Amino acid sequence: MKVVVASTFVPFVEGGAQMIMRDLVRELEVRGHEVDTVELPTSSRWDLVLEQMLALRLLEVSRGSDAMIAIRPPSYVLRHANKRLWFIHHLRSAYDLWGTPWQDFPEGPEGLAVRDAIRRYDTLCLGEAQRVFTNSLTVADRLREFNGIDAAVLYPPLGRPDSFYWEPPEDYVFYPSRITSHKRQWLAVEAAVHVASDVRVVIAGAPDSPGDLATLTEVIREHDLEGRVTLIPRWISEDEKAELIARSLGVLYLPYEEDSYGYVSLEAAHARKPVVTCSDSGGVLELVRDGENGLVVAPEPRALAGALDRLRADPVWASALGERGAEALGEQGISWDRVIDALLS
Amino acid sequence: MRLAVLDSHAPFADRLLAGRRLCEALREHGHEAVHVGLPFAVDSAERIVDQMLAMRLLHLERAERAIGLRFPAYLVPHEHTVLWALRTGERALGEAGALVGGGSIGRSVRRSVFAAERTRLHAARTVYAPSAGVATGLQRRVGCSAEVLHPPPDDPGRFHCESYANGVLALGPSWAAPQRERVLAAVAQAHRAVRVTMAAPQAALGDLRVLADRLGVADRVEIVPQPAGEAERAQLLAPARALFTLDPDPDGPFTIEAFHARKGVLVLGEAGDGTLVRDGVSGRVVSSPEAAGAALDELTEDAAAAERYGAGGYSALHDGHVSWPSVVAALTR
Repeated sequence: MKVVVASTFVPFVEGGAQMIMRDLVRELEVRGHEVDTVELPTSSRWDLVLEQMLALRLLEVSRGSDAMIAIRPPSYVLRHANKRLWFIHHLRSAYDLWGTPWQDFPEGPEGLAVRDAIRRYDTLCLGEAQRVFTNSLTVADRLREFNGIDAAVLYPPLGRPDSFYWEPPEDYVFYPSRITSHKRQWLAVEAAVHVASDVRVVIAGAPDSPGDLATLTEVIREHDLEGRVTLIPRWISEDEKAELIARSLGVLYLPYEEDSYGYVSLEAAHARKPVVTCSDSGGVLELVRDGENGLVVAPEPRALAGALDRLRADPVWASALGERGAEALGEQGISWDRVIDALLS
Repeated sequence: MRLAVLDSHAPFADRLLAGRRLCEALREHGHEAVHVGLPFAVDSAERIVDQMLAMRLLHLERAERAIGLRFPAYLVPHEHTVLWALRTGERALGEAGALVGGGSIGRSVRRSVFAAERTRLHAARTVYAPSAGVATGLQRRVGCSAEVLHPPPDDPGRFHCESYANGVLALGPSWAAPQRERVLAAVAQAHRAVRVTMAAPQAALGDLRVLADRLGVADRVEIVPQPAGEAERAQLLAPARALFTLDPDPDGPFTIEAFHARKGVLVLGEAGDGTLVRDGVSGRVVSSPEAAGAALDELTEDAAAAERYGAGGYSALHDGHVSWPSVVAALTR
């Protein structure tokens, strides 16, 4: 089958959508499909969203292909007679983040008009698809709530699961993720103020903006946490990440209402390490069960500090949680065979 | 520097090799480079204009500079754009051929293409053209001066010369149908000793063989499928006597590859001032099938001349600084 895989990206920002796209292309090709890709640059500026949607709608990608799989918004507005969606999130400012501190649309009639136009156009274009899948129950629920569209869940498997491994835990928990406000690395830093043990926090990831990095470094400096918090403010290689996960007590993933479980959680499970997350972290809660294969705490520093102390106090227990995380992976049926069969069925 | 390379392609038809190779070269020189491959397909005249508009509506964030390579991708706005016009609007219209046509809609589309291109080129910081011919076309059509910056092959090192033992190789873009017919006409004018291997798209092989038979040259012209990529072209070039280019641009990529393989180039058409192909130095430039037949005779009978033209072509590459480091230096200047 000739398949176009379409997505969008912000130049120079490495994100989960690009990993999904690369992995999907490779897995399609491994199974004998002919694949070409269309990756379109987009801006998330509220006042540019509608014209970018129009731009994508005007483009021509359908010639010469049997199907198109669209991933990141708003690639689903591209036209194709056989459009399939692996929908990973909405333009969240216009949806579930509306009315939260992360709503970057202005209040008032103009912002509201743009929001409503996006929602209407999304519903129209999403409705053209022959098949709709999401990457999590959380996203499926939002699609049903906001656009009236039912979708099945296809959890994205890792591209190289075998590269994650276990080593005896050292004295730190590890938070690998893009440094940005809604991933809440600041929560991990503030937890370090309240821990009773000598547990350390290691944070690694490229900052979305200089401001995001400055916020974190300011908190570290303010509380004199240089010895307790290690900040690696850059993109780290997969090998580097695997090693830091392998030697950790556990992995932190603390986003606010994240769409999916996040690759970090899956990587931790493959490395047999527990995941610590928050009760409002969204999709990750589909994978992590408190006290079984990880810890789920209230999104506040003292609660998180308590969880970190527990892992540090009992590394054997921490490892047992990690073991059960690996077992839970098998129960979820996460595999590329399942993903490709569903997307092209 | 953070650089976004703007390229366009028809999915499953174009492979965006130059853009990807340019990104590699930029990274090798310490830059951050992102390849932005935008879809562009011509299925009707009107849709060309739609897609031009789409490009104008896109936004490039975080890039310090945009490097535009192909129409219409280079219409994407950016305040600091350098254009290296590897495919101009005129070329895209040429590839679209009959789909655009000469009627009122076709004329209107042509005007729109040239107007958009004129606006964009004049807003760019610098404009480079891949050959003297393209630079002349840009000057004539949109009044824009362009410096010539020849695109090197993806991997120049794979082009080499084994010998000059085989016949002349006729090679060019897949859409160059009229040029293939002119090659057959030229062979018909040459002596019986001339041997030519001509590559053509699979769909055209049958018709070309029938034509070769009708012209009485079937025993002298071997018509083979178009090589799939640079490696296959390098293999065909290595033992060839010379290249008979089917590219209307005498300094197109096939000529550059031939010069890397130390092969002279035969051009049936025009080669203006400043071209790499120079008559009697790096090949032969002739204007009629009869003259092309005579040039084929010369190349066949005089191996030393073929070798001399090849050496001339190879020197022209060095004199013209045709290399990836030169490309990176120019585009990041």
